[in-house]
Amino acid sequence: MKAFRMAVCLGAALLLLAAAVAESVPPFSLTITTPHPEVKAGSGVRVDLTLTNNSDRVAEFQFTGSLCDYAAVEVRDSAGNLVPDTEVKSKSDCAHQEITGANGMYRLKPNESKRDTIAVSMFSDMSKPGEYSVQVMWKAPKEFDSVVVKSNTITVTVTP
Amino acid sequence: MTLRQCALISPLFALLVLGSGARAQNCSLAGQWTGSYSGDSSGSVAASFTETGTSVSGTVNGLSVTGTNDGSQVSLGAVAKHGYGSASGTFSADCSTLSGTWIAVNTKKHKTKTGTFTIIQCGAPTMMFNGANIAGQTTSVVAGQEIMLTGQAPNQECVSATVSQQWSLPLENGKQTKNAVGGYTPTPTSYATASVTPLPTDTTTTSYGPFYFTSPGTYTMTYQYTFDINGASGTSPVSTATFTTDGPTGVSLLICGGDIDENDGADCTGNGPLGKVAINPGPVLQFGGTAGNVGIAMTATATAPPGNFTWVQRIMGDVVTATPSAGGAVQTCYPPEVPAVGVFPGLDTAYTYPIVNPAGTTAYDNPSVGLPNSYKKVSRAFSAMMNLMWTPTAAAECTGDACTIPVPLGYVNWKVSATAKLNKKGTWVPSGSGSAHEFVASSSYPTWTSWVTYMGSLVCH
Repeated sequence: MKAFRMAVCLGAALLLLAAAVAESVPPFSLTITTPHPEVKAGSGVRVDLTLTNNSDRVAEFQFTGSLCDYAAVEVRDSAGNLVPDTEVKSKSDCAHQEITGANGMYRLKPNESKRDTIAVSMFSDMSKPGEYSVQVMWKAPKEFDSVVVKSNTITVTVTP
Repeated sequence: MTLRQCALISPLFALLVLGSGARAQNCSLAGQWTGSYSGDSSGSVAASFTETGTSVSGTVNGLSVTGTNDGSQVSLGAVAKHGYGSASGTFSADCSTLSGTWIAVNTKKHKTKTGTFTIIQCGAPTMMFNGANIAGQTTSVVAGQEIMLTGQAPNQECVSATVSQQWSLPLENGKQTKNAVGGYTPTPTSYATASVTPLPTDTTTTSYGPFYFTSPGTYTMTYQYTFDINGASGTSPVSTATFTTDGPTGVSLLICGGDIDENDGADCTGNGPLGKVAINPGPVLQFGGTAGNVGIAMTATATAPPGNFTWVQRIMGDVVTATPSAGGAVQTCYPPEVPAVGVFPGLDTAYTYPIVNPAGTTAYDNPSVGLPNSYKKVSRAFSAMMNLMWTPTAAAECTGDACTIPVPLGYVNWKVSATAKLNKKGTWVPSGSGSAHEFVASSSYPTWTSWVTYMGSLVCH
């Protein structure tokens, strides 16, 4: 009887551990790359994104194709400081996006991915030569507790 | 005959021996030659020859002459007018240069004059494209492919002697074609404005381009040069390059909406009704926006070489009128736009249009506007032009943003008129509809000087 109780306890512990491990896997991953890690000053910088649904549920969300689809696009200089916004971004107010032109519905099934592109240098001032780091954040739908998904960080070098 | 006259015709005479034995190539004397002679006297030579079989006739410094050319040996007889003198010569390995000796006899002061001459044929120029000489050739290209041409005389002597150059503009049936441009400015990293770059206007330099054909067809480019060798000048023959340009054909575009599966990137399988105006969570007044009620979808098909459809949407008008719940004047509002709101047409959100299926064959739209509690009625008049373009796949060896540009295929005008009214129960009630015209084939590029970013709140007056 004692051995049976111990086995039950051990089994329960293993189940809890497995659940914890499963729960620790982020429901989404966001990977960014750039086709041109080194560009000349004045050239545009583009980031390609791949959002993947790692959960076992379908994720549905709307997408407008604008910068406002993302919680943040952080561009930092070599000292780690956020670079200034361009005039376009400084005039934007994504927190109060009231109207859309382009607008689509997306449904990501488990393990499916969606690709996107952001013209980073149109929104963050990367005009000065130097090394910049870029990281993008995306906010998941409410059904996924609005978790903020952080991408990897990439480096872009702007040469004179 | 004067000494001067003698000198002028001297280089012609003599010929008779030709050089150093038969060679593999069969050099032709036909065409225009220039060069110089020296000996008891010296000067320049300008000659022009035609050939019939091995017989040669032509002029040297304006005087008629006949002779023979068997491909390895040239013998020119006496100048017809005077009947004395002769010349012989041999070709260079590339047939571009004829060198030999001349003998003039029976002059007044000198019984015999001798010397040497070297004349060069500045023949048809080369036209280089992607490392190959395409002069006289037909070359296959694709609409939207970058074309950069470089012209040059066929040998170093004539390159050094080149005085001027002349390119044609891109031609179709001998006339300047409308189906070629110098570029298209928007890129994925810079699209606040868009314009078409005209064809390069400088047609007098070594290179011409870059330019792009924008429609399938057969086009030509020509190039020639003028030269001056020791004071003897001339114009080269014209070289012509022919381009057979491939691109999308049989383009069609279907328009549908409503109950199609945008989530799965479904294409329109036929023209059908569009979606409906609805109140969706937010709340928002939206054209479509839910599964089973897609606002509008447009599916393109074509027979085309490797490449992708490129979609660009311009907002032709977008005005929101809002009636405050608390009374007061009706407000007229516009979406966020740079450099100024209310200016149309303006690019919709991004270049290229971002809401497309993974294959890029279908573009969707479900435009929406928020419904704040502070209003009791909100109306939106939205109109857009969706431009369909096509971009060829860049050649592997080509790098950079200029390797390809999109080429226009046509457009669809569509619009939505929508209203939301707050009823007595505090519920928003939608009305309105969307409509679309048929696809219109067009070779015009979409351009804009304004960008409707849609990144923020309405701007109301």
